[in-house]
Amino acid sequence: MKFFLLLILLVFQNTFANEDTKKLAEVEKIFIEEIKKQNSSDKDKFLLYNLAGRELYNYKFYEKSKEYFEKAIELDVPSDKTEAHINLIAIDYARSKTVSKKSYDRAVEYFTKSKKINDEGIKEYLSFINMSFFKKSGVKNYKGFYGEFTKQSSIKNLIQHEKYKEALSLMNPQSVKDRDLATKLRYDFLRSAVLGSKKLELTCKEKVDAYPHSIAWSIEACKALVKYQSGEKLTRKDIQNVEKSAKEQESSSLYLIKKFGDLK
Amino acid sequence: MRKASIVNVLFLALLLFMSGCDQNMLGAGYAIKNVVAKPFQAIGSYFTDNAYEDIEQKSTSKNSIPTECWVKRKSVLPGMEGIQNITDVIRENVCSCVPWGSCTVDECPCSRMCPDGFDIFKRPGQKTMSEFTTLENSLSFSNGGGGGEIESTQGFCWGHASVTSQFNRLAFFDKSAKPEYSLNSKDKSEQKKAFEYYKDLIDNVIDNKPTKIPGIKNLNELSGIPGIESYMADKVAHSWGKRAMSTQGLSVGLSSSAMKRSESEEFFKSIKEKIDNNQQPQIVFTKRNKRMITHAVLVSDYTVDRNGNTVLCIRDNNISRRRVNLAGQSCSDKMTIGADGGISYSLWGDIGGAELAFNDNSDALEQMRNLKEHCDSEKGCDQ
Repeated sequence: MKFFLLLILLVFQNTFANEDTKKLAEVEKIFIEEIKKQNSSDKDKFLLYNLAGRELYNYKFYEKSKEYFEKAIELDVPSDKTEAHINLIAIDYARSKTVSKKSYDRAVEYFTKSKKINDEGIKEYLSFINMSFFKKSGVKNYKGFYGEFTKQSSIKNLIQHEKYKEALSLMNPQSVKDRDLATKLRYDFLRSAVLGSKKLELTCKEKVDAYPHSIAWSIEACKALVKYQSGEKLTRKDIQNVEKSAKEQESSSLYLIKKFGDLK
Repeated sequence: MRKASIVNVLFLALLLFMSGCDQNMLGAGYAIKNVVAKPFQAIGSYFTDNAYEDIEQKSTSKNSIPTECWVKRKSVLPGMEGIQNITDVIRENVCSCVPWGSCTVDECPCSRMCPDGFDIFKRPGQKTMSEFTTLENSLSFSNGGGGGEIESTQGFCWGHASVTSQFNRLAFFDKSAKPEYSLNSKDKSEQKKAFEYYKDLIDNVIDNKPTKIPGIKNLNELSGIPGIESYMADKVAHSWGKRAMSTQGLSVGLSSSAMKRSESEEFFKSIKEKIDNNQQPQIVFTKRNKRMITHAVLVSDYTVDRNGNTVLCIRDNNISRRRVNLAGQSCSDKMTIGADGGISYSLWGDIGGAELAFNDNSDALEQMRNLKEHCDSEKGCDQ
C-alpha cells in the first residue's frame, strides 16, 4: 500500500515537473519568438535578455534569471551591463548565501574596463561585496545600508579567530535587548569571553526562564552561559551537549558554539 | 511544485500584460529601453508592474466585497428543527459571507468567499489595514535601531518588512488545532521533530504559499519560540540579501535627492491604492542627501490631515516591540509631503528618494494567486 502511495506521489511530482518545464519553455518562447520575429539587433536582444533576467529574478527563478543575464553579458554590444553583473552576484547570494569569487572578479573586470568603477555607487557596492565575502581583515566600512551585513560577517570572522574584544566592540548594546535570541547569545558570549565570570546579567536568560524545558540549541547555549556566569566552570560534556544540539538543529551559529570552550 | 507555481504566476503576468496591451513585445522592449539602459534610475519590473496594474484596475472597477456580511444559514431539513434550535443556542444561525468567511458554498457564493483580485487579502471583520499593525501580528524581535544615524539602518530592514508581510498575508494561525508534533512535548525526539515541522511551515510562507500553522496563536508567539526564533532571524537576513544586493536595491540607496512634488504625490497615490487594495506595501527610502542611509518599512495605513493632505502611517521595524501597538493605533510614525514637495518622515526628518519595493508587486501577484487556490480548496470552490 505504502509503495502504491509513493508511486502515485512520484507520478504527480513528475506531472508537476513536466508542467513546470513546459510553462517555463512557453515563457521563454515569448521572448525568443519576439526577438526572431522582429529580426532584432543584438542591442534589442540585450534589452530583452536583461528584462527577462530581471522578471525571473523577481519571481525567485534564479537559475533561469542567471541564464538570461549571462546571455545579455555574452552579447558584444556597447550597452550598459551593470544590472546583469550586479544581479549575477545577487543570484549567487540568493542561491547559496555566498558570492563566488568568479562572479565578483568578472564584475570588477567589467567595471574597470568600462571605467564605471569610478561611479560612487558601483565602488561602494563592490567594496561591500569584497568586505563581506572575501576580505577577512583590515579596515571595513560598517556605515549605511550595507553596513550591517558587513558588520555581521566581520563579527563572525573575528569570533572564529578568537578576537573577542574586537567583535564585542562592533555590537551595539543599546539595540541587543529587543533583538532575536541568536544576537543576544552572541552578545552574552562575547561579554563572557572578554569580561569573564562575574555574575554578569545575561540578555538571553529571559528566554530560558520562559522556556525552561526547550531543547532548542539556543536555550542549551544560554543555560551554559548562565552556569558560567554563576561561577561554575563549563565541563566538556556541557559544551558537547550544546554543540550537539546546534549541529542537529542546523544552527547557523555553530561557529559561535564551537568557541564556548574558551570560557575559562 | 513550488517552481511550477512561480512560473504559473510569471506566465499569468506575462499573459495579462500581453492581453491588455500592445501585442508587440519587442515594441515594449523599445519602450522600456531607457529603464533598462540606465540601471540606477527608475528600475522597474515592467511586465510585473503592468500585470499588477491590470488586476488593480479590475479590482477597483467592481464593488469591493465587505469584510462584514452575515447571512442566515440555509433552512434546516423538516424534522431537524429541534436539533437546529439547540445548535442555534450554541451558535447563532448566521454565517459570515465575506472573503475567508464561515459560510459554506451552499450559503454564500464562492465569488464572495474566495474572490479574484486583491479582495482575497481581506480577513473577516477587519476594518482597516492598520489592524495588522499589532504586536501579535509582528515578529517578536525588532530589526535593530537605537543609537545614532548609522545605527538607524542597522539590521536587515527589507527582510524584516518582507517576512512580516508574508506572514500577515499567508499564515493562518490556529492555537486550538493540534500540530503533527508538539514543541511542548516531554519527549525530546518529538520536540526535535516539531522543530523541523515548524521550520517547514515557515519555509512555505517564505515561498509565498498560504500555510496553516496549528498550535500557535500568532506570529509574535511563533517567532519568539527558541530555535524557531533564530531560524526566522536567518530568513529575515537572507530575504534582505536577496533584495538589497540586487541592482534594484543598490539604485534605491543612491537616490538621496529630494523628490519633486509631482513625484512625491504620485508615490503617495500609488501607496494609497495599495492600502485600498488590502495591502500594507513595502517601501524603501534614503535619507535626504545621505546616500546609502537607506531603510525599508511597511506602510500600515493612511489618514488625511485637517488640511486635506494624505499622511502615510509607517510600520517601522526598528521601533521597540513595546511601541508597535501604539504605532498601529495612533499613526505615530508618519510620512508627509513637505512644503518643498519632498517627503518627510517623523522618525528620520527629510528623506530623498522613496519608492515601492521592487519585489512588492511580484510578491502580491504570487500571493494573491496562491491564496485564491488555497481558499478554493478550503471552501470546496475548486470542484
